[in-house]
Amino acid sequence: MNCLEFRRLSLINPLDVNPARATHRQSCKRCAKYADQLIAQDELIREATRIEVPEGFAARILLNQSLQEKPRRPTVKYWLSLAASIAIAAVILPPIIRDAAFVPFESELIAHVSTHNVLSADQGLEHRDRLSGNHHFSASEHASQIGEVRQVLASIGAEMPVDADNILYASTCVVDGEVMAHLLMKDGDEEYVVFLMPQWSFARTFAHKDWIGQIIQSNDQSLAILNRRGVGMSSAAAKFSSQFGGTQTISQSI
Amino acid sequence: MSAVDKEKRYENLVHAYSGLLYRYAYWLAGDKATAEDLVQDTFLRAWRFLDSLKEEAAAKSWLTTILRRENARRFERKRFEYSDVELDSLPATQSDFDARPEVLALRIALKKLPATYREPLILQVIEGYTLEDIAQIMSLPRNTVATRLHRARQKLKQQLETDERIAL
Repeated sequence: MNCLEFRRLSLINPLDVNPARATHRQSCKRCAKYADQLIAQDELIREATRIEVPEGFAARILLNQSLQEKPRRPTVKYWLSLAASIAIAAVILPPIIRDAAFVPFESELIAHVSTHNVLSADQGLEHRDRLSGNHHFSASEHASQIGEVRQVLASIGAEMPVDADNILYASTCVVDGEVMAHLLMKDGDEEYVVFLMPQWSFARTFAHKDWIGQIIQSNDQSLAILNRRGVGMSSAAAKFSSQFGGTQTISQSI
Repeated sequence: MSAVDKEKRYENLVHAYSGLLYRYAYWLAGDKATAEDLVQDTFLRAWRFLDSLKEEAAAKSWLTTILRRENARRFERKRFEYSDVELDSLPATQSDFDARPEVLALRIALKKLPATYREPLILQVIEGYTLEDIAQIMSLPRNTVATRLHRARQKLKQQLETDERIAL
């Protein structure tokens, strides 16, 4: 390779690992200096174009997506289509419906929490890994996550009704098309999961083969509290629940 | 793909690439608010067509391609009202940018580069794309991308050397 070709390739990519280029670089000091100048120029480009990503940006994107998913106001055409669909369904579907499984909202919550393995007693810690890159948050990362969740809740007129000291983990998640705050709470040795659901307003208790929980209505929003079924609703979770008008105990046999 | 899987996959993409796309959008659009809108629109479109993304390894270039198209749509929508923000008129406070003279000179030199040269350079240097990736994202032949990168660095180098001579 001659100097001209070396410089041509360097201008295309100063970090090009072409062996012939590397050999020429070792034998020609002027070309090596030329390549170093281009590498330094690229580094300067990186410095010149560095820009801070706004705080809570990822959470705002998830929120925006969830708001876009909300159903629009139905039109006349929509109602006509719906009426036609119902008429057809009334004739065709009854045998199918008899066998269909009903999937309630809490199944979505349980699927989410099971997938993310957020309880520290669980094996994966996948959700925490994904966000932090390791199992241990620094204090600033933790504060930043809680701040991000607060910011998202504030943008939809809600607030975090719990003390940050008791939060082991906080994230903004999309469940069933809605943004909610997903928290791992700790009280003494007990851990439980809380979802703050500002876009929902209903209450009920529920049980699943692995999980037991309660959805509480409080100030036009709902909170869901989940515990492992094996340990039942922990006293800490029950205490937390009672602050928002939930029942103190939930039977294992719901 | 179940709804839960789709949501989780989407969340992963948002957390992994929103920052990178924001930086790229900023250098395409020239201002922070537009950059943020561009990335929001990109992810809304990504959600709608998430099933068409077959390999996670291709996610970065897939999202970058969507973002470029969203930027093109923005130009179509605002063809008559759009005014390009001058990069050197952007706030250059300490918190926003490195204010060292050599960095400032490079920002100005970058601004003077024609967009056809600046864009592949940004994709390569900031986003770390290969020549082949850039060719795919920009829908250009590989050799055209190579020529543009060659000229971009050459022009930048000449511009900085000229500025240095003037300063002396």
